[in-house]
Amino acid sequence: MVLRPRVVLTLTLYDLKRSYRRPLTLFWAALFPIFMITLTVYVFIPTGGGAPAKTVRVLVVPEGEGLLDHCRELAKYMNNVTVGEHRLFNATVMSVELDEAIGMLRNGTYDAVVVVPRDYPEMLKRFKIHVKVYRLAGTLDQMSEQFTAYAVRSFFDASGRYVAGGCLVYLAQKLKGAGVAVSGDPLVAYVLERAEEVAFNNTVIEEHEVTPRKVVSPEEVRRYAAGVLAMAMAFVEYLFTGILGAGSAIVEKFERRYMERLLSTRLSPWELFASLTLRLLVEGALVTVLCLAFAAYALRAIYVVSPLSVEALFIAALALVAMLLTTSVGVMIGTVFRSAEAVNAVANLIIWPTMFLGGIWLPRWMIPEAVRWFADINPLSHMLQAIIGVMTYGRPVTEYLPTLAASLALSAVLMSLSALLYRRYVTSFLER
Amino acid sequence: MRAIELRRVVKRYGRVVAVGGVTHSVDRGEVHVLLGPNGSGKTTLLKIVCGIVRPSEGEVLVLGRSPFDDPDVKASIGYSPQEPLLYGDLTGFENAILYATLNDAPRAEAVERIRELAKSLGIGEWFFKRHLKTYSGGMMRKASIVAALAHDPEVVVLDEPTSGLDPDSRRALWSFVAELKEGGKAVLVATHLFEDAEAMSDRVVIMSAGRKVAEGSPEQLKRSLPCSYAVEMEFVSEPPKSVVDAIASASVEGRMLRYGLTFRIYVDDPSELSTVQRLVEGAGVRALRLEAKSIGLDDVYFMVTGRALGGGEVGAEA
Repeated sequence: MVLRPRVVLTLTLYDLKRSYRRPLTLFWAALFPIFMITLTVYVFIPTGGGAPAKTVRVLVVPEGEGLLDHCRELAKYMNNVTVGEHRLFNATVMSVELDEAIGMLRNGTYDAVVVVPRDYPEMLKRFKIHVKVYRLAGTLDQMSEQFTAYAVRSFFDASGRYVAGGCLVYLAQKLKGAGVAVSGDPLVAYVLERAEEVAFNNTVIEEHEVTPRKVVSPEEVRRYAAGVLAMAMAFVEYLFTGILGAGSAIVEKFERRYMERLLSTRLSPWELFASLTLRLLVEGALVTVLCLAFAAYALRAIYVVSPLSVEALFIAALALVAMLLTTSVGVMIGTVFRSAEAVNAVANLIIWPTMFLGGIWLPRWMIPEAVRWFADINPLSHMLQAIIGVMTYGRPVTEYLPTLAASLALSAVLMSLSALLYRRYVTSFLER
Repeated sequence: MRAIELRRVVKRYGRVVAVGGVTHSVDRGEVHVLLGPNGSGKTTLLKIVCGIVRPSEGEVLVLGRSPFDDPDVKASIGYSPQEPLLYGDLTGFENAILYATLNDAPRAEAVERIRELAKSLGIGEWFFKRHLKTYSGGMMRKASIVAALAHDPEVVVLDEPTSGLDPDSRRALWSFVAELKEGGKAVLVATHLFEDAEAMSDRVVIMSAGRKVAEGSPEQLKRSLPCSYAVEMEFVSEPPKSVVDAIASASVEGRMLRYGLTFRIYVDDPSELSTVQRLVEGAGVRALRLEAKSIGLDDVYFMVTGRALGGGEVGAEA
């Protein structure tokens, strides 16, 4: 075998030339890496200044009458705790029943509930702190759970030491004022005894873990996570099949001139649009079944709904709406940008940020707080959360009916718009 | 009611006039061939007939209905484009079934028809088993024709149907088109090959720069010329200009075509061959070949349009 270096080099050079003349290569080889690096640096990497990993949202509630001022004082101290220039806690006071507070904890409004008990004033007089802390446990966000637990515990430990310090100062001043000799005096012995008691045993934190779902078992977290990820993966597939798939299918028919032959038949633009949509829905449905079945059988994922229940219907309906939504976006891209390269670039610029920042592949809690607004406004994220809420956490369907209604309305609008654009696109093809 | 009727059809792309006011009609049981070079507007005209490209002006009717206002009539048209434009990941059979279905043909009938077509066109098992992307150019062409006719259309539109076919397959296709004609189909074919036009057509429409410049049966077109014979001379080396000019002046209307060292002129009487021979010999130029032959459609095209097809160059200065 003889290798002719000149031939190989020339061939390589011309292949490179061909490759870099394609806009798509430039996108993947230059724009995409620059985009990803910039995105990661500005979004996922801490900006410095010692900002906390998260702001712990705390609800402070009184256990009974006459404790509201203590709650406010506690919240004030909590809100004063800073890491760098950032607040560690965002504490709010509410005079509500414990059940209501726990409800707000479960639905994710707060990370922890601090209950100021009835004996709080009395304990404080004795230089002691007694609080009840309720926090979420058994979620998929174990890091967040642990961070919350550690932050709240540290706050009260530090508060306890502060109170103990106050106690010692008070007693020392008392001894000084009494002119008592230090050794052998019964009063000194008393003071030391009290100081020891306060210094080492003055903080009582009653911790209660609140679970966000029916079944509680740390071992099951992985199995629940498998179910959640399976659905998240299906949504990622909707992004690719819907946005990229629809866009590519349209330009393929245009660029390869299949449209020309198809339109020589009695096929109407609506039939073309319907078949494209149906094809993508079937693809989306198949991948959903595959993801959920694989997770169930291979990863032992836990779903709390039966396949033949109303909840399953609700999940299927929401998934269908999500597919229609991504498909309509893909159709719009395909009708506006008429080359495969352009569609590929635009679709990828939508898909990747949506996947990582839009609350699809990375759950909301893993997204940096500064860009969570994107997940908040992303309708797909809400649909996914609704499906997970019903499918994994067993929440009632009724809780998510507004999500379903809003998603349906949005999908209907986008589908109509994309159908009209598609019709105009086909008509302009005939008029060209 | 005419099968195909075009009335003053114009198609403009910006300032470019692709089709410039063509009026033409085809009846059932007729085969009409549009003959012309690339860019003469043949394909655009076929696309207008099939309802793929809307004309800028004029009217097109297929079986009395406009394919743009009444797209249902498209189910009566079978269109095989210049490139097959079929799905490479499907077999030829699957493509044909797909197009038959798009044109409302019942599956069982379409399958039967596809098998008949495959037999007529000498298509083998590959059509049913292999994906289209593995086909040769000729195989693709045949698959394209089957896909166009699987729904048994009344109007057949074929764009360059013999391109990529070997000589045997070309002849088979000519017979096949004759069968379509006998079956009462209206067939409109576009080609730039004179042989195809001569073999297939009842009527040839010569097109140039988007316009219809001549029309008639091949014989009518040939008879319409002011000459009956073409004289071809092949030289060993480039003849002197004076000889070339003399040869040209011997031709009807001074028209001469040359292909390299081969010159073609036109005469009305074969006896004029000796005049030309004397002229060449008198100049002391050695000719390899000197023969007279009947006028063909290529000559008609040249005489009508003043342009040459098939690589020929016009005039003595070429």
